[in-house]
Amino acid sequence: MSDKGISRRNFIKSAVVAAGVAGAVPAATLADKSMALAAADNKVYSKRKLPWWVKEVDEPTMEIDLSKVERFNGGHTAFALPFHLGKAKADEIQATYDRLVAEAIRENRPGYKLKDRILYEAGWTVNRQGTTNKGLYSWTPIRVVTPEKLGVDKYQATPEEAARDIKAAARAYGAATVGITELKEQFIYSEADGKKFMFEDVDQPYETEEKRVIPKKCKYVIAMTVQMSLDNLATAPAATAGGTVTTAYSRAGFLVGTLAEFIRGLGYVAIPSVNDVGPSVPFALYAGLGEVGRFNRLITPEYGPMVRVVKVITDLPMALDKPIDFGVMNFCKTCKKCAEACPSGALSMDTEPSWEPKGKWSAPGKKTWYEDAVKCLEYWRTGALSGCSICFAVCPYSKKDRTAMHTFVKATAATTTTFNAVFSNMDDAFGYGAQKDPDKWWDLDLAEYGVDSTRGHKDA
Amino acid sequence: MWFVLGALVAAACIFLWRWAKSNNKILSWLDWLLALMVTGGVLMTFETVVGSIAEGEPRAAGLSFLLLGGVTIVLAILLWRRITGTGRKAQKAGLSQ
Repeated sequence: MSDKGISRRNFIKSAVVAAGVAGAVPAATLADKSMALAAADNKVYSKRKLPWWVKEVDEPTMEIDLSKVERFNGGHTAFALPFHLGKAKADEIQATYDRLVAEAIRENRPGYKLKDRILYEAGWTVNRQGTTNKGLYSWTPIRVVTPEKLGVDKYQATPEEAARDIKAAARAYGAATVGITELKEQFIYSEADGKKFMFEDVDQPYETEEKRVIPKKCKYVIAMTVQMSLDNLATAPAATAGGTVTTAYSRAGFLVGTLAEFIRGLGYVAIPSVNDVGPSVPFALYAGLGEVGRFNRLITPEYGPMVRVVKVITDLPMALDKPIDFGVMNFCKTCKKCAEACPSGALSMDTEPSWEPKGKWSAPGKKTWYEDAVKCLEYWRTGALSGCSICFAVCPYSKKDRTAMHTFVKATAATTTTFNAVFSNMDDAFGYGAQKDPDKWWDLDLAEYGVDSTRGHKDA
Repeated sequence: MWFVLGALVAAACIFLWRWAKSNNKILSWLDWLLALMVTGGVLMTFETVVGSIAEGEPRAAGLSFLLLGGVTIVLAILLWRRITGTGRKAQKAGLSQ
């Protein structure tokens, strides 16, 4: 038959192949865009639609032994250099920092010029409009009118409906992704700023000279991500990279402040928090926003590590999300790009994660690649002169999404570990993660905040 | 970009069909499969190169062009030799006229 052209049987064979190829491209594209489901069938879609290569799992891929997680003193994070290094050494580091910042500005060093420096500093503006339970981060209504004052019933909904509504509101206020998990008290700081965080059977949160009290009825945490700009981060460790970090923190402050007001307006308690009440990453991990990678930051399927993570604690009952697995833990075992690139040597080069923290700045109870966070902080002050972020920039998951090849790589890494070493090496060979010229950043014509807010969403 | 890619696919199909017709060539299923792979290769190369340039990653664009484009060119040469009958195996097998 072949000498008369293509046979019917062969034509069908070819057609099947063609249809497969033709179908794969749009199918993968649609899946990657986290296609939201149409609500025409009246079903309440409280969960975000994940790409097909992301699996929901019962426990986070980073092993956590909750029985060994003790509430951490918020005053002992790596930022507390006097606590870890002593006051004299901390003062010396601070003095060096002040001197080097001024020198860099006077020398007009690319990425450290006055305009670069102020891009970084001014980015904090909104974030710093308050601290724990003050200003933007108030635990009680700021200006919203509560149902009680209006004389109406408070918001009533099923947990699924409430989750859907909260997630929609959070996205409207600037969240990139939103997940809901239960409040695990172990992840709330024992104390910070000289005040203890306590849980009591009370109706409203309150604060005294000694303590800040979270009502025990607040059993839910809304974990959210705010995107950072890869165009900024690619200039790391320059201050231009820090510019997107501080701006994202300000957007995070706006997000948690407004979402908390929204929840209070519905008649419920809301406690907004960036990193003050406790770390946000554990909640994001349980809420299925991503996995924790080698450099102990959240790596999301949509944006890689290019996010800041925040949360709102509330008593509004909502449907919970589950942790996710898309191969990050296994990928990080092979890929050590962040650790190799870290100028301070703070990141672990071990292949396997460990249960042993490297210092008092880390809380035990999790199996991870513990970092020497104080070494990292010292480099911030004496080398990067801002927030460094090299580990974020070089991570192979830090990519824009202008080519489907990135989705192909992520989907393959999520499915099999076979090619992880190849992908990591190719990432280097292709030049990803190399520092971009900070001076050229000022010439870019970027979208607002330097991010693509349509990523990961269909109805954009 | 998807419009351009669609136009490229359509142009490739029309070109192959017209070329085969005008030269009185009879294509086997393997020729069509190869043609499909070449078209897919061109599309993937185009999408990756254009995407990488848009991302500001010229090195990634160049290497994608070399790797994906290289494989596509090899496949295209194979296809060409088969359908023009210049390939030794093709001549032996008599798959082309």
